[in-house]
Amino acid sequence: MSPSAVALLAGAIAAAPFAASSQNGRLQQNSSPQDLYDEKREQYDSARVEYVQAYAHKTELDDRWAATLGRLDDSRESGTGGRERGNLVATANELSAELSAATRAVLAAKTQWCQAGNSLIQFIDVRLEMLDALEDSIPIDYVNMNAHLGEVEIEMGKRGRDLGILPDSGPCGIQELPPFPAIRIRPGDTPEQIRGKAEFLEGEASKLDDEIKALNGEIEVLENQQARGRRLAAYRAEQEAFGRNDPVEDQVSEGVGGERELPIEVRIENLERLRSEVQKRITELKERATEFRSLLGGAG
Amino acid sequence: MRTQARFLCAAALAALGAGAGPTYAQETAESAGTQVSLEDVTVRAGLSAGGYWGNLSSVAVVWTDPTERAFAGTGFFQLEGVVRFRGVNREVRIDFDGGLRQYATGGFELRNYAPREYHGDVAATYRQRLWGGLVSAGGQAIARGVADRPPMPLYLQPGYNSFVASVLYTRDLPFDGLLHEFDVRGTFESRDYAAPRVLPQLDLLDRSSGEATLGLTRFLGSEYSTLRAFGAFRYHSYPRKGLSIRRRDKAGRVGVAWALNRYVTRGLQAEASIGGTFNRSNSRRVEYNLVGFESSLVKSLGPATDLLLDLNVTRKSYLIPGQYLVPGEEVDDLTRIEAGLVRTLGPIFATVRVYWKKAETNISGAYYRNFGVSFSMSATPWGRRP
Repeated sequence: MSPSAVALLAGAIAAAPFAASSQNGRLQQNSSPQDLYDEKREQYDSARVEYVQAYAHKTELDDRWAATLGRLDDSRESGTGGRERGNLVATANELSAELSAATRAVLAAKTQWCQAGNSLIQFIDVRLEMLDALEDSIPIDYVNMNAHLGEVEIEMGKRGRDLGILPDSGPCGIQELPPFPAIRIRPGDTPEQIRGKAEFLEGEASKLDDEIKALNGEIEVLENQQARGRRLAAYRAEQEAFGRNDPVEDQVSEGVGGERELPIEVRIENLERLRSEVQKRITELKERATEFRSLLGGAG
Repeated sequence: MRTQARFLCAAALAALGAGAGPTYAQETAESAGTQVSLEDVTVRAGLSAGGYWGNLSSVAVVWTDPTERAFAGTGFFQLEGVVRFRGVNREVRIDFDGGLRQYATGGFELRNYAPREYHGDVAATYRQRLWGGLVSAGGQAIARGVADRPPMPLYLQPGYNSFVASVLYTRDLPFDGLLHEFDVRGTFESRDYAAPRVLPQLDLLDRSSGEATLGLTRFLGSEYSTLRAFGAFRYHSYPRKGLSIRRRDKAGRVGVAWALNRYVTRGLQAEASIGGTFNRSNSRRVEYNLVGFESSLVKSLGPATDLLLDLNVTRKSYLIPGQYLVPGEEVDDLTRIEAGLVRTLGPIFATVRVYWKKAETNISGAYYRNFGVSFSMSATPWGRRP
């Protein structure tokens, strides 16, 4: 092969893949699948914006709640007037109700976002499978849809967390435990109320049981990935041991640059830590429920 | 240079533990301190058998033998592992690897040989998120030795000591509706073949090298494929080559690498890369162009078994016809085909590989062929869950 031919070949190969995708967007417009995508995307974006707003409102209330409690403590310590303390207690009560409502709103918005996101991802997955079967459609629609999928997955936190981009898991799945329910037996509680409180605690424990199952599934997926990675690494390590002993030095391949993902063992450790905390919480909830029921005697 | 590697490691540790100021202290407190772990300490042992054919000569061997056919059986033992110091958004890892491989040969006419290869490698790498991306810097020391090195056609790379320093910066660049990753890398290597008294010509291969690489990776989907284009400038200096003027090579390298990962959904991974090297030198006889293709395929054969296929092809052409590099060390054309299986057997990985290689030079039809089969098992008694 002549030197100029080698140069031309290498240059053309290097340039071709990056020239191919500039027309993708224009070719995709006004197609029916695109309309469907737009509709689902609109629902998803709307749900996401609602969540962000609800979360911001709750954060603001959290700050005010913390400040009010701080002032109340100061007031108790300094022994200042009963009227001011009374006002602070009233404000705290008011904020408490608002905070409860805001927390419920955040959870509802989070669920909506999760559902809209899962629906959108499911739609894109199906579309990708269809496009995959049609050779002519690659790389036009396929590349665009893949880009949308990547974007949504990052927002949903799945890839974001995997890549270490986002600290939070997004709307689906828990990343930290909510506070222990502030439920206790008050003087004057009727057996019916006590039973209701015990049932509430048992219900919370049951929800966390489902979370344990989800975490187990996620850990299993990661462990399978880890086992595969180690299997392939064992093979390559044997292949590369002592050098390849090939009588040629110039190597062509250049692997993908950086290591993007958090080490898989760290991701597994994080999930296992969370699972352990959830298990502990389930035990606590059940113990508390048993304690409540014991107060009922034979009526529990 | 072992001292240099230790220095790099110590500097990295210092940066990890003390050089980060209050933010680091706060982060460390939040994450219950830097975690230190010994990971993936793996013991590997194996056997292989192979046949060697050819009349390719090698400047780096003392003896010659008139045979064009030889065979060898080998047994090897290897130990490797990682010590990792992990903080928030930064880590230091030290990879170590050492091994011994013993050959028993046959088929030589003058006498048979019993070569022994030993290999040691220590690498320290510091990684930190910085300037919106990820920075990696590290040093590596490699020592390789071969005792009772046989003549051709059983080619064994000569022993050497190598010291490598490298810096890598990667950063995400979302544009054109897709995620991209930009990377820039600088590498410096000093390699000394430490020629024995009976083989002073081995010193001709001593060299210092530097390379700067720019790359851009395009992510085409979360689990699907990546496409990477890269370009590099490489500089080699051979202090022992040339009478009054040292040989200095400058090379441009360009290429494209594609990777597909559908292992989770379809049990399939594939990679392919093609590229060219354009080597220019103050010694006209070593000016060449090279084009190479590498590919690999991984196919799952069940939850615990994978099949791997590799193909490498390299073709070289000299600017001045009839010229050549040192035969036996840098041949012109190489083809390598390999198939293998790897299987998880409880806490052990078992691998079987079958490979075939063919190398040729531009001159006098000299050739080299190798066919081999190898089997190995590896276990990780420390630092890994079963």
